[in-house]
Order: sequence, then C-alpha cells, then structure tokens
Amino acid sequence: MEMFSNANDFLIWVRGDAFNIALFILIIGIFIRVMEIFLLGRKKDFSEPRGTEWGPGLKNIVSRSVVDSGTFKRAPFIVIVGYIWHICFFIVLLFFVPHIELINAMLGLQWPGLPSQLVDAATVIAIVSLIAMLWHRLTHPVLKFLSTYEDYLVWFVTFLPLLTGYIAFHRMIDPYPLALGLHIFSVELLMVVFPFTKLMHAITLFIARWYTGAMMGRKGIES
Amino acid sequence: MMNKKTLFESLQQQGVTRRGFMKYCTALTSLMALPPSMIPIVANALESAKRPSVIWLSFQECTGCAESLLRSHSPTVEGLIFDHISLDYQHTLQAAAGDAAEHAREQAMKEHYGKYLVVVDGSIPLADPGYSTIAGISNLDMLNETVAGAAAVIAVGTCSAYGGLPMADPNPTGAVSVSSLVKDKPVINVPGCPPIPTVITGVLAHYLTFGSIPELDDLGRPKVFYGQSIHDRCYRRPFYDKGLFAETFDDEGAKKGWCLYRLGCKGPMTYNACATLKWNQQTSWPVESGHGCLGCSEPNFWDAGSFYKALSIPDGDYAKAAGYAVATGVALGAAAGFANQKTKSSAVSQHTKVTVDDFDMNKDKK
Amino acid sequence: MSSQALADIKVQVESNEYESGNLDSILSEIAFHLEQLLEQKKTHSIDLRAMPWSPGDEDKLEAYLGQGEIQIELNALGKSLFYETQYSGIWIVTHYNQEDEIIGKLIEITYMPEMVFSQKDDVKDSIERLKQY
Repeated sequence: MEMFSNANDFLIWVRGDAFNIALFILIIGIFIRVMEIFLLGRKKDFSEPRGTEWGPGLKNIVSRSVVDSGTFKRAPFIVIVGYIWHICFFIVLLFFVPHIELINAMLGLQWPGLPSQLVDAATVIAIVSLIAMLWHRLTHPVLKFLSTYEDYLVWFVTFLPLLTGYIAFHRMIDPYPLALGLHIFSVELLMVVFPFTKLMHAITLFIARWYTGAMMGRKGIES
Repeated sequence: MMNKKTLFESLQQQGVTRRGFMKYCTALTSLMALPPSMIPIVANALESAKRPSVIWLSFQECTGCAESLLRSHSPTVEGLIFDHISLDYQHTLQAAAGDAAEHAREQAMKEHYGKYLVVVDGSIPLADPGYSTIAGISNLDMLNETVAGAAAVIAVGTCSAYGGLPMADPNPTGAVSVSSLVKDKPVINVPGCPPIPTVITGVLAHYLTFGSIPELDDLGRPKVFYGQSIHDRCYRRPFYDKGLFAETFDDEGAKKGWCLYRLGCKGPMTYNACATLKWNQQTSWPVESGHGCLGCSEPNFWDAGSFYKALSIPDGDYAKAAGYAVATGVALGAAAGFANQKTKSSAVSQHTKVTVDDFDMNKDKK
Repeated sequence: MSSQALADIKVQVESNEYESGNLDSILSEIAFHLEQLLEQKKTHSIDLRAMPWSPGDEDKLEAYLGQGEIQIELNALGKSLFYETQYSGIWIVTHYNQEDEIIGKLIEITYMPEMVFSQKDDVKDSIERLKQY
C-alpha cells in the first residue's frame, strides 16, 4: 500500500485508472478471442441442406442447458453443484443493487434488485459451492490428474470477488474504503484474466452451442 | 489573560452550586459522546482541570469551520471561550489586530510554553509561501513556530486534517495537511467540511477535562466521534437492506425516506457522527433532509468522484477506455485472425497425400 | 429567539408505514435496567442525544412513556426539568442553558434523580452562610 497514502486513495485508484485498464484489457481480449474464432471460419459444406440453421442453432443455445441423463449419471456432483454455483453467482452479480447501479451506468440497463439478505445468502451458497468444487477437483483422481495451473488460477480469480464482496458487505475489514477497494480490485483481476482463460466459456458457449445446433439443423437432425 | 484557577473554582466563584456544576458535567459528558456513567469521572476531573491556552491558526480556509464552531450551542461559544479555554489568538474573532494580535500570540506562546493547544483550520501551501500569509509570515513558518511549544495540535476541518479543497487535483498551491508537517507533536484530526460544531467543542472539552488526547483511529480522528460509519448509524439503513431506494430526489421512494445509495450517498465509506449528533442543535442532518452524504470527513473526498454517482460505479472515463478498447480489439483480433488463416492455408498447401506405399516398411530397402 | 421558532415549526414525518424498530430496542433496554434497579439497586442513565433516531422516534418514545405523577424544575445555570413518566422509576431529564436551548437530555432509571437531592457541598456552604448571620 506504499503507493497509496490511505484507503481512500486506493479506492479512488481502483474506481478510476485501475478499472479503465481492466476494462481495456477485457474488451481487447474478448475481441481477439471471438474474432479469431470467426475469422478462422468453417469448411464450406457442399451437401444439399435438409433443414434450416438459425432456428435449431438458437434453440440449441437454450436446450443444451438441460442436462442429459447420461452426463448426470456420470458426474452428478459436478452437475448439481455446478448448477447451484451458476444460479447463485448470477443472483449475486445481477440482483445486488450496487451491481445493478454499475450495469446501469455502463450499459443503461436497469431492473429491480433483491433484498440484501437474499443476495447475502446466495453469496454464501456460491462460496460454499466453489469450495466444494475445489475439494472435488483435488480429491477426484482423474480430475486432479487432468487439472492444470489454469484451472486453479480460474478458481482463484472467481473465488476472490465473492470472498471480498462478502467481507465488504459485512464490513469485516476496517476502514470500509479498503474493503470495497479490495472487492473492486479483485473483480478487475477477474476481468483481466477472463479473456485469456477458460472463463471465456461465458461467451464461447453461445457460439459453440449455436454452431452445433445449426450443423444438426442443416442435416435435418432434431437436437 | 490566563486564569490560574481551576474551572470548578471559577464556577464556584460565580455562585454556581454543586447542582449547577453536575448539570454542567452532564452536558459536557454528552458533548464528549461519553456514556452518562462517566459523569462522576468527568466531574472529578473537572474539579482540578485548568483552562488551557488555545492559539487558533487559520491558513488556506474559508472560515466555514470557525462559523460552524460559532454556531455551537452546547455550550455556547461565549461559554466555550470564557469557561473552557483561554482563546488567546484567533484572528477572525479577536478584537486586536495587526501587531497587537501577533503580540498576543507570541505572549501566549511564551507564557504557556509546552502547555498550550494549537488549533489549525485550513491547509498549508508549499508550492509558494506567498499563496497565504498572515502579518507577512508564511503559513508554514507560523505553523512551525507556533507548534514548537505546543502540547498538542488539533487540525479542525478537512483542509487542515487532509488537505481538503485546496489540495484537490490539480492542487495549484501545493497544499498539504497539518499532520504531514507536524511529526513530533500529537495531532488530532477533526475533519468535516465543516466538522460538526459539537465535535470540535467535544474534542476541546476532552483535552480540558482529562488533559490528554482521546483515542484516535488510523487517520488520526477521535474514535468516539469517528468510530462508526454514517451507513452503520443511518436510520435509513433498513431500506438499504430491504433493497428500497430513492432513484430521483422527488420520486415516491424519496418521499418515503428510502435509502439514498443510488443517488450517490457516500455514507458507507464515511466515518463521522452526523447520524447521532446531527446539526443545528440536533434538528437534522444531510441524510435526514433527503440528500446523500458527501463523505466530507474523508481524505480526498473532492477527488473521489461525483457526489451523485453511486459508490459502486467506476469514476474514470470508462466510456472512452471502452471505445479505445473496442477499436484496438477489432484491429488486433483481425490481425490474429488473418495470421491464423495464413497458418491454416500454409498448412493446407504443404499438405501431401499419403499412400499405402508410404506405410510399406520395406520401401527404403527397395 | 430563533431556536424556539424552530421548535414551533410542526415537523410532520411523511411516512407512517415505516417503523424503525428503535422504540422496541430502547424499551427493552429500559425494562432491563428497571429490573436491575429493583433487584440490585443499580441506577442507569441513557443519553438520548446519542441515539441514532429516525425522525419522530424521540417524540414517539416520549408519547409512549407519558407523564407521571411528579415533575420537578431546577434552576441552576438555566432551567432543568425532571419528570417521572407513567412508568415508575423511569425519569426524563432535560437540561437547558441560560438561553433556553437544550444541552442535555437523558432517561434516568432511578428512584430519584441524583441531582434533585440537596448536594453535600451546597449544604456545607449553607452552614457557613447561616453561621455568618
């Protein structure tokens, strides 16, 4: 903290320059990754289409969210905890009023928030489910063997904003500007890491699902 | 000028009874934000307390802090000046001017060397001493000279505590706070723009009563007044927790007294006593009157972004950053994409067909 | 006087649907100390000026406690008013300065506020003065 004379200085930096840098890297990174995918293109399909592409493609984006029974039987823990984690994470991200304020300021979109106690409960569940998934990764022999440093990095940068957010909300670090500053800073870390790791799945999943659906649709297969 | 008697003795001489004295102690205990159980201890201490000599220095300031103090009603400023302390120099309030005024300061310093209190409002310019002088003496020189014999320094107002408005970006006068210059004496910061009057008098009363400085936080503020955030003591806090917010200053939420977070209230990050002590003889305080807290008792509050932007919103020019990022991202993405395409097409062109003959182990021997 | 003019303005709290819950907590605190007074003879004071009140809370509390059987006025460095509420053992004490501005307001949980008793120092002083007659 040498470069900051007090916690407020840190918060001012985090809300100002640091956020701009993180946003800059996030956007550039996403563009590079997405354009790489699209510009690489696909081999031209010369076969006679037996169905449409767009409808099945869009449908597939939604329908793939339902787990098929085979996957569930093979990895029930990952499916259940994965669902709990994602739902709670989105409740926290999208329905905590200070977050809505941020989205409104950046994108001009606004919707009603949830009471803080509900968001707080969702945070706790999200934190617990993330810890459970790390535990699962470390104790499952195959999963552990397959895990790389990136998996742990991704876990860490996802975990930090939840933890610091919980700490800031409950004002467990004094003074508050430091607690809030650490929370925003941890989100900025996540923003920087996001485009260059498998966190990109939050965007590429739509491309991948659409493509699978579109490909099947062209072949006339129900997906 | 200096009264050698204790406060209790001078009150007795004025015909004040024990009941009157106890009442005075009750008011003073409340003023110092101490619990009523401390009244007997305060009374005990006051029986032997002597009035300290106070030298008040005004540097780069707007006199708002002195104005705030003048509107302190409990006790009245007259009471404060004549009963609690011996205010020997305050160039706005004192009758003397020019040489006589400066002489009063020098005399007080000499007579009470090592024992007097220095109160400072306003920041000190370091870029050029000419920005602010008193009687031809630069603020820095006067501060150093006066603080040399002081028992403690009380920095009243955000300007003297943290630099305040004069220090705000781009800080043309090179303004600094008192605590960044005074290192060898205890400095009590009483920030606020202005501070709550009863907090100013409360801190003075604490020194008068106990002869010591109160417990301070990391930013040099007395914990008894600045120990809790506005948000923690705010009566609108339940609305924050329920997710009920005013979105404009005249909507239904504003009329129902809902939380002002979305309108930019800095209560969560601000440590001050407004929510309990209130202003104007406990009439009201900013949040009660329907306006969010500005965070005026925090360092660099002028540079901490718009007063009307929620605390969770970044404060920089993020739209510009995002614009540049999109342009750069498209360019880099295109470059990466074409580089990949080139790799792919060169892989295709270098592709050679493999026939069954290539797998013939005896090919080379033939 | 400006301070009195201010007090004359009828301030109406706009929202009636909101209950801060402050009344609940202070009443249970008072009840606890009243028990302590009866069982252990422990007196207690609450500084009403140190409460994070919502607008109207203090009025609601005073209205709830009501006026009891006894009221005492003291004149020392300005007026002070002591009155027992409808709840025996709970006193409300308001200190004014010479300009009639409130400088202290407390709830005292006691059989009799200490300051009402004749004070030893003052009694000593009285003896001196009587002897001089």
